[in-house]
Amino acid sequence: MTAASFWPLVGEFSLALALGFSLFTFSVSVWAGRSQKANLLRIAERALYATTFLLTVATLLLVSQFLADNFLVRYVYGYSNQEMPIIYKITALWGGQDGSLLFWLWLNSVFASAAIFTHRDTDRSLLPYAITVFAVILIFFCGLLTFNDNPFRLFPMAPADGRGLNPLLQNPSMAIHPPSLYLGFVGMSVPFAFGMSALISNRLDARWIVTTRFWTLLAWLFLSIGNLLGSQWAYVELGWGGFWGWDPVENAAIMPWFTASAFIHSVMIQEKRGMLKFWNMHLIVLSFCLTILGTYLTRSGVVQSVHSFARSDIGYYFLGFLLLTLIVSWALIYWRRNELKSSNVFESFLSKEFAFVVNNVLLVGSAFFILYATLFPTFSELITGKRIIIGPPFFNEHLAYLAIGLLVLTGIGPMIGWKKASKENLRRSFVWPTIVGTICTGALALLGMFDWYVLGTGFGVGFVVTTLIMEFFAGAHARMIQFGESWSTAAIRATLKNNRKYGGYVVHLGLVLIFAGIAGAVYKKIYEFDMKPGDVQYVEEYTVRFKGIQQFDRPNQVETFGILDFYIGDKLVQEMRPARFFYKAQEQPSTEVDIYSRLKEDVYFTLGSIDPQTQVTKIHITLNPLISLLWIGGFVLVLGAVISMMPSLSLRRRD
Amino acid sequence: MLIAWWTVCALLCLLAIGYTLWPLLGRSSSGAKTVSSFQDYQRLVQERERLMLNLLDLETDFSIGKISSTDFEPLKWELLADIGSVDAKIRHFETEDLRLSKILQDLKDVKL
Repeated sequence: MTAASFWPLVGEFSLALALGFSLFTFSVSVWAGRSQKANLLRIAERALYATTFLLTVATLLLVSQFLADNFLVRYVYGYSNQEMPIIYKITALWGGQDGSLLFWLWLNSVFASAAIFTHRDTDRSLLPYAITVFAVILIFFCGLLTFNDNPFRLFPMAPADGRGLNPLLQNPSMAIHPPSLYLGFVGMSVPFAFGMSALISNRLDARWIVTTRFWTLLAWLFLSIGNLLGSQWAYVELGWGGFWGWDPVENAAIMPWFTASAFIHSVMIQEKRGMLKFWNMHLIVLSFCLTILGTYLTRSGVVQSVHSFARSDIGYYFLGFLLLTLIVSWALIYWRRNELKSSNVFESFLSKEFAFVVNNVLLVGSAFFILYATLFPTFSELITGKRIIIGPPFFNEHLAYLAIGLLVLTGIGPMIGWKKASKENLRRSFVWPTIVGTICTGALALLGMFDWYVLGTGFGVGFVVTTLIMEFFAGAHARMIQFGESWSTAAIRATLKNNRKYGGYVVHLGLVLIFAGIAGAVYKKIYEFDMKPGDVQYVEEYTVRFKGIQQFDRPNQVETFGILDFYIGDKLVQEMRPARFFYKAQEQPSTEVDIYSRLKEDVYFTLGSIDPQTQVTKIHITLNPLISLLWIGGFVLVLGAVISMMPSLSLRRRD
Repeated sequence: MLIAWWTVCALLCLLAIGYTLWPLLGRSSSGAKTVSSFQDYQRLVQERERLMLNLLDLETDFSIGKISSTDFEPLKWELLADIGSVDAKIRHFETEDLRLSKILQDLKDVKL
């Protein structure tokens, strides 16, 4: 043993010990569940915390090896080199398969421990089997890392330098995007574990839903942030001017978001009306399984993607784990089918309950459509021997119908009454939103926009924003009458006392902005010019003058910038510097775009090929209308989710 | 180096095992049943809070005309019945479970 191999071997030991502790946690928690002995439950809890501690040690040790440039560790050699900035040496932890699995496992253990610790006093009846489920997940990942994908494997001799991280991953968004998605994925294990525990222990009232509400919202929030950051990364890093390419790995990340969104809505029906218990159990199983399926798709090589990790046999293990999870979960649901019967029945199609069911059908339908289209090339190859690729237009065309339906339902759901909406309720709630929606559609048509998706989005935006305003005013007005408060006091108190509901409305507003941003992409325009230094080109209201090329030789990469003066009308507003980097260690180029952002549109510059003899350079300019609304909407959506997760002021005051 | 490695690994093992099995070293608490009763009591209080919030929501929906009086009344009575049943259980805890009553009394005294 040498000094360089000392800490990696401690990390390997820590990982193996964590596997032992997860097995112990599993056994003791099952015993605690069967015997209901408090001491056993205490030990199971502590064993889970100890597993988390050991995984923390292993993760920190792997990060320390990156920081120490210890290329004796194969994984460090594969994803780092001496010239890489410290931040990317840390993010290299999840740059490859083994490290990302360790990172995932560690996050999962932290989430599991935090959930168990938070509910250790209030929900003890659900704890033993929830710990069991967490332990099964940890055993699977620990086993995989210990026996198949050990990130601490060593070379016999250390190479002089590493291969470095994929240049595409050397981007600030990559510091937050994967952890955020992983947090969303592992967060889904909390409601899943408590749901399974409720099934095993036959405590199928609304308690497990109330217990996991915060965790479900947190997982959904991280999935949303992860997907938004992924879009942002694709927009600024891949240089193609788009933000979502329906790549299989992107699809793997968005599918659980759809089912989790459906779950968040349908649990409200269970909480308020005692309905959809059976469906909710299926939804949480589906959401959790989709996170595992996503990992299978990413790592097995069954789909081709720019994001995929190397093809490996790890996919079979994930497939096995996925099937096992599905079989056991469905068996448990079937076992408790009588207890999962609804306490009430649907009374009308014109009711909040039915609106939520339609919302669920559209959300889950979207997830299944994406799954089908993602796996279609694989199935076509299996059946016909030919791989038929499905491109973004297919996704956009078919999902557009579901999207418009969902947008309109975003306005209907909050306004329609429970049980059976009266004519008066329908008239009062939907006449004005319909009028405003129609006016928006008409206005777009007058501006010459006749694309059906844009017109539909215009109607949806007008409709939903009006319902949100009406709902807010109605809540404040009710308080003014009930408590004699001034309008401002009533508005603030109504929001603070029911932050769950109003936070949800803010999320809806965020979604409306995102929809508007996406609709803008229909009118995207792409221009391409061959320019010599001194050349001037005109793009609508903009003028661009090419000044020339600048080149810098950095330790990690060679940077080539195209320098352009950018004018709006006659006014010089900014010097634009789109670039191409060439990463020396990986011998790989990357495109670095430069963007001038306005609320109306983004002017997106990309540097193309350069003729070294004539200095003629290809400049791509893309006009992306309303794209800022996508990012603003994302921010509003995150804000709304945070508001919704905060404890209710009315509860706190009474406490 | 090998001895140092064994020492670090043994320390990790001891730390994790010692922490996990610590509850076995202490005697089982005689107040365990009371603690469990107190947790059940807390759970019921939280359940009542949840039902009260649902009632508040329902009343707001009714006051802004989202729900008709024909639907409002049965839903309200359904919720009130649930609240009543949870309340009865809470009262049972407060009056019948003497050890819990003592804890609640102590908490009240501390607050005063």
